[in-house]
This record gives sequence, C-alpha cells and structure tokens, in this order.
Amino acid sequence: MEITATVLLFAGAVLGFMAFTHLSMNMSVPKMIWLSHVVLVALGLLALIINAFTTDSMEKHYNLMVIFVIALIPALTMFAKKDINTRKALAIVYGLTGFFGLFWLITYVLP
Amino acid sequence: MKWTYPIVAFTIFFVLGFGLVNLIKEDLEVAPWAGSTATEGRLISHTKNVTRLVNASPADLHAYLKTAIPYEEAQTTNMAPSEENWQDFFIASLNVNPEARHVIILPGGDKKALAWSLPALYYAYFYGSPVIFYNNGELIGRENVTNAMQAYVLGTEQMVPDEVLSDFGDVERISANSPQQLALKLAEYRDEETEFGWGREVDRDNGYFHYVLTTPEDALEGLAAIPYAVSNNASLLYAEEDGGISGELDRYAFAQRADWFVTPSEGPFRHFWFVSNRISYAAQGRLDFSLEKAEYASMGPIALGDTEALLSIFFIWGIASALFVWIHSLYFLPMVNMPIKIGWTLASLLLPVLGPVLYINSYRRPAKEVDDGDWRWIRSHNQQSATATIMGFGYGAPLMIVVGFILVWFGFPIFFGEGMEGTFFWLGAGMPIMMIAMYIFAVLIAWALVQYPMKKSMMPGMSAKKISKMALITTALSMLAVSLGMMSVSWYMFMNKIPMMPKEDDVLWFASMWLASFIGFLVAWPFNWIFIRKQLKPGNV
Repeated sequence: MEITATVLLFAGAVLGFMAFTHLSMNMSVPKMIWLSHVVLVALGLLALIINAFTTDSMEKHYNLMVIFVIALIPALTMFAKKDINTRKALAIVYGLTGFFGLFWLITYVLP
Repeated sequence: MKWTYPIVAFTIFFVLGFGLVNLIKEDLEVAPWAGSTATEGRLISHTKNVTRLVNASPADLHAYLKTAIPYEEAQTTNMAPSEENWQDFFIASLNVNPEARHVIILPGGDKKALAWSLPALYYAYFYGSPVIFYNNGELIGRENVTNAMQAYVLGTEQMVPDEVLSDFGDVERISANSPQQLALKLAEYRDEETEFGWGREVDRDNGYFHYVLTTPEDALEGLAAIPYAVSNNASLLYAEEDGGISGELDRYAFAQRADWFVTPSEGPFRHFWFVSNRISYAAQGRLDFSLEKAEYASMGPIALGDTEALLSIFFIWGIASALFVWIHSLYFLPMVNMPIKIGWTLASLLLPVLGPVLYINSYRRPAKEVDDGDWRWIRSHNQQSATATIMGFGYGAPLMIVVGFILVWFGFPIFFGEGMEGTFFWLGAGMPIMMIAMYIFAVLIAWALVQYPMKKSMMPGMSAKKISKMALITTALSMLAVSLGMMSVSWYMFMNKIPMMPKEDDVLWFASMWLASFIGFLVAWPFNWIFIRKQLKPGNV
C-alpha cells in the first residue's frame, strides 16, 4: 500500500508540475490536467490512510499526513482566488510542501 | 517540443530534491554511515571499542557469561532467561540493596514488556533496587517495599496505569515514544537524592563504564548479558530493529567519547558489548569510532567541521538564489521564454549569489521585441558570454549531478579485467567511470531535450540535421569546458581534501558538487566568449 501511495502521488506530482508550468506562463490550466492531479493525489492520500490502518510496521506515516494537510491549505485556497499572481504564489507554496512530503515518503520506499 | 524543458527541469528537481530531503532525513533519524545495508557476511566479531558476543540464543549467551564473568556479585541465577520466565529470572538474580532509596515499577508479562523494562532492569541490577512488576492488573513484589520509598515508573500509562500507583507517596513516571528512547533517557537521568538513574550525560573525564547494546526484538539476549551491569557498570542501550543506529543514539555515543590527557594509552576505556546478531557492521563501525579516545579538549575528527560548515552555507545560498531567480522571473519577466527562465533558475542553484547578480545584470538593460513575443536584450560581449554559458550550464551541470547522484545511490560496476591493467588501469576505477558517465549522459540529455529544440526555435529556417549537429557540438564542447573545472574540483574534494569519502546522504557530497559546479562555470565562461564571437550561441535572449 505504501508503494501504491507513492506511485499515485508521483503521478499526481507529474501532473501538478504540468499544471504549474501552464500557470507559470500565465496560461489557463487544462481541466483534464488539474482534475487528474486532484484525483491522483486524493487516491494517493487514501492509500496512505489505508496503509496506516493495515500495516504491521511501526511507521504509520502520520508525519506525512500532517505535511500533506499543510500542503492542502494553499491548494484549496487556490480555488477561492481568481487573481493569477496570487494563484501562482499559492501554487509555489503548495508545490514545495507537497514535493517535500513526496520525497519524504520515497525515502522509505526506495531500497 | 516545448514540453522537453519542463521534463528536464522536473527530472533535475525531482532527483536533487529527493537527495536533499533524504539528506535531512538521514541526518535527523539515522546516524551517518550506520545504516543496515551491505554488511552481511563481513567480519563482525570484534573491533577496538566494540565486542560482539555472537550467540545462538539467550541460553547460549547466559551459559557463556557464567564462566566469562567470574565475579560472584555479577553472577545471575543458574536458569537461563526465556520469554516465559524472564521476570522470575531477574528476581532470582537480583541482590536487593537493603539501603535502597527508591523502588522501580515496571511493566511485566510478554516480550514487549521486557523490551520496555530492560533498561531499568540494568540499573536495578547495578544498584540493587527493589523491583515491582505490573502484570494482569497486579503489582508483583509490592509486599517487599515500603510506601515511603520514592517510586519510579518506567513505561507508558497503557503499560502501567496511574490508578495502581495510588498507594505510593511519591511517584515519578519516566516514559518515551519507544524503548530505544527510554533507554537513552535513563542513561542520562539522575536523581542524587534517591540515587536513581545512570546520570551519564556528556562525560569525558573517565572511562569507567561500558554499554550493552541490543535491539528490542533481542531483549532476551540483553537480559542474559545483565552481569555486565555489575561487572562493567554497563548501561543498556538499544539499536534500531533493522540493525542500524538512530541519530539520537549516535549523538549520545559521541558525547561519551573520553579524552586522553597525556597519552592515548591511558585507560580504562569505554566499550560497547553487542549481544544482538542483528546489529549491522556499519553500526558497529560507527559506534566503535564514537568511543575512540580523542585528544584533550577536542571531539576529534567529528562534529561539524570547517569545510562542512562553509560549504553548507554556500549550498544554502544556492537554494536561496534559485528561489529568488525563479520567483522573480515568474512575476516580473513575462517576456522571457520559459526555457531561458528554467536555465537561469537551475544555474542560480549552483551559482550562489553570482547567479542572481548575472541575472539582474542581464535583464536590467534595454530590450527590444524583434519578433512577436521574441525579445532581445542589449548586452556587452562578456555579459552575452555569461548568458550563453548559463544556457548550457543551467541544464548541463545539474544534469551531471543528477547522473552522479543516481550512480552513487544505486551503485555502478567497477571493472578490473585484464585489459584494465597497465596504462589504462584508471578506466577501471570508480571515479573516472562516474565522471565519464556523468558527462556522456548529461550531454545526451541536454542535447536532445534542451539544446536541439532551443536552437530549432531560434533558427527555424535551418535544416534539422544541421541544427542537430550544431547543437551536439556546442553542447559537448560547452560541457567539456564545464567538466574541466567541475571534475578537477570534485576529484580534489573527494579524493584529497575530505578525509572520508562522502556518500550521497552526506552534506559534503552535495556541497562538493556545488563547489565543483561553481568552478566549472568560471572555467566555461571564457570558452563561451569564443562561441559568441563565432555566433554559435545566442547571448542576448
């Protein structure tokens, strides 16, 4: 389940990076891209939560969940803000926090 | 084709970002060079400051120590400890101190309870403290102690609930998140009035005590080795379950390094006794090093050294520079194309301060829109050379570090066939292979995904074949110039300056690559002066 969460979150991160690239060039983000990002990240987080309940390991990744919840704050705020400059700033904070969480997770998964 | 630039940027960001987060995590959670890998099958029995008591079982270890430690006061009872009898084994072995000023209350029952109790059992055995076990709602051994004694409860409230302690006048609970942390806490804790706790904080004035190290899973072996608590004044500490050691234990062990005053032959010496076969050789090596005596008033060749401190600052400035250029260009330079912005950002990552200075200098000049959405800046020849260098360096140098990181993370083959003897022996060594691979892979990726599409968009009239050839030559030459500086400095740093070869989870690895890249840029800058003169590269974008 840990690996499933990593794969889903990695795919979500790739699409998030694509969305950010659009945003950075002042282009509107294609709906398909941001929607897929949201779905993949949501599934990744769900996999992490299931992992916490089912794993026998001492490491339940609660710290990661806190990091991702912090990342969600600017992400959700983006929906409420229409100004492109504010959205860029929120996307930077969201992206850096989210990537930090993903990297932290990968340190457990990679051999 | 425009997607190739973000793909390269993503790859660089992903690999280096992971590497840096891994660096933080490793330094926080696991002691450097003390993981659990690549250790099996080596010689693991004995090092200078560590003795590994390889044993088949707790009973085997118990039998061995009966004869190996011939002191009457350290002797345990004749029955070997097991999961079922460990409480009885301890009580039968303990000589209670009639003048004890405290009583210890511990969780009893299963093996998990033993893992939590063991650090305190060591102190109790050393001092002769009366011990009460809490098991199945009962306090076993309560009748032997008076209410007036100070009670110490070890473990969480789930293990020993507060309700059962109401009889005791003065109770203090010592708990932690894990048995490992509890053992460390007890090693440092001391109350002089009640004479409880080892009180072994930073103490480098003597060598009169030892440590027994096991894992919570092998707590029974730890119990079998309890004679050391009396014979060698040994505290019990725990390694991690996977055989590595935590950053906390590493910090503690290095604080226990004893000094020598006149000569290193002064004794006695601090020592670790390993009784778990799970503990890795890397952990053994690290702890062996931690207790190695150092010269008076020095921690020896450990702690944050000057090179480490300076390079860390250099490296943090690089991250700050990249963030500045990235965010600034995002908001204030809408007329600059995305690939150019990525190039400046990645270059600034490796060029602390210099990157932002060149960036500001390049874009504060007059600009002209030569085509629809295509801007050019009026710059001096030197400034154009710097910009041209940045366009190659910004993608090429981080790619070389990415390739290097992947190679050291996963490892790479080292060849020592017959053909590698004689003049070309160096081709079989690790560093030359890594350098060649870094150069070739980085050139190929930068050529195909960055330089070719960049030139294609700038010179739409030229044939694809000609552009491809031109891009390959300029990329290969430009990165060769970068490599001249970069590889020389990384060779100097890794093979000469730094006494221990750093690995990818060491800040010195990243910081050395950063410094090497910086020098690589300075070497490549004059070469790009020629490229601008010959109009092989643009310098005004």
